[in-house]
Amino acid sequence: MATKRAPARKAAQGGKKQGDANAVSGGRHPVEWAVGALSGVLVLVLLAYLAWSAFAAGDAPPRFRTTVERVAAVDDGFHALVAVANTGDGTAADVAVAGMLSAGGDEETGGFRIDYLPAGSTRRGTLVFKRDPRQGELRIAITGYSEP
Amino acid sequence: MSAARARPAGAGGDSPATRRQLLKDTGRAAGGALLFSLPMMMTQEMWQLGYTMPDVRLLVLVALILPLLMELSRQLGLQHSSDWRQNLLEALYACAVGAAVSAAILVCFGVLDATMSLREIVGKVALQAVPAAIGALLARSQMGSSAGDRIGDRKETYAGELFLMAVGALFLGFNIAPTEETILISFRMSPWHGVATVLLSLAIMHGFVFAVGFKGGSELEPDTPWWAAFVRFTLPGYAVALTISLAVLWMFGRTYDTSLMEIVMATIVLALPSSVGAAAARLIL
Repeated sequence: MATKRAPARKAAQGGKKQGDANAVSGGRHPVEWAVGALSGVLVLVLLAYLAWSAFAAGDAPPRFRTTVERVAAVDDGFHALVAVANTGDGTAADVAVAGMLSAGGDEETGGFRIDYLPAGSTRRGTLVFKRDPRQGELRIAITGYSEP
Repeated sequence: MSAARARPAGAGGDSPATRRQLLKDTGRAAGGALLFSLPMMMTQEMWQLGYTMPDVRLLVLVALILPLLMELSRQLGLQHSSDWRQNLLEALYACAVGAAVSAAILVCFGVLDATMSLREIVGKVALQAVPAAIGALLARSQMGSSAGDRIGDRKETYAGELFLMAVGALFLGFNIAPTEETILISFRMSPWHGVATVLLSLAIMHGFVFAVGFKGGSELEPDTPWWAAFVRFTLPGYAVALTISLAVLWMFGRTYDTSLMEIVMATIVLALPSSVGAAAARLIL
């Protein structure tokens, strides 16, 4: 590339006429045109994807699906790792997740918040209990969220 | 360019003049490092990323920065030779200055102290040292030489041009990517906002390419039709900005368990400043 371009530049500096011919025909820059074309395709694909999703995406409010992925016994309690997936079309902010555990005739609650939960994405948090959630009944609820 | 400037580490003897030159060079580099990295040192997300960033991604970043600095040193023509050892020395020197400046400032701000784990301290300094090292290297070329010494007589290749664009995009992208606003903005946007942002980015870049391209005079002849410059420089430049934006978002963990649509939108948002950085690279660098 370097060796190819050097004479072109000299020509442009030396005499304007020679420079013109090279620049307009573009024949001297096959690699540049190839890279340009490839980038153009990339940008077009990007725009097409955006346009497609503009039409395809609905405007359903955020919907949540929670799953307990892991329960770990830690020191004097139990940590339940909870994944919250947003299956709706909108992003939810400041999602409040509450867990109610009934075990051994006792009720216990835990909770955490998620800063942002984009549509189609998953975020995780941990509920902390004194009793083992695996031994009792654990209900997880989303008690509120705001718009970003 | 004096002989002393070519040996930042003082390899060329111990005369008082050499030492004074080394001191002056280091001062310059430290100034550049400050100029380029202070905004990031005062961003809390950058501190958090220092310890939340997975080890592997931090390693990728640090492993990439050295060859990047070497190539930047070569491109900037700090050494008028293409001796890779000189460039390596130059890159290591910039890294050292960048890390030292970052550590000093972070200690002053109370972001680093002795109660923290080694991993946290190393993570915070390493992350801040990246923009600081770029700044340190740039300062040496920018402040150190007369105007004619720089870009003018440098050999400009197409690949080199794209490389400089990537550095410009990386620099601005790095500045903005850690902030929460990047993703917050993308959440507020509809796909049509995204389309508009892409088109606006392209228009801004093209404005820069024209303004800068004609000024330099070596890449674009004055009568190049606009679409030729658009295909050869603007489109590849935007593709570079998109790629760098996505890479930075990935490194900062913004893509984890996130839907494709949200990744695309965040990339487009970050690509706006990145593309300005890419297009302006020839002005700054």
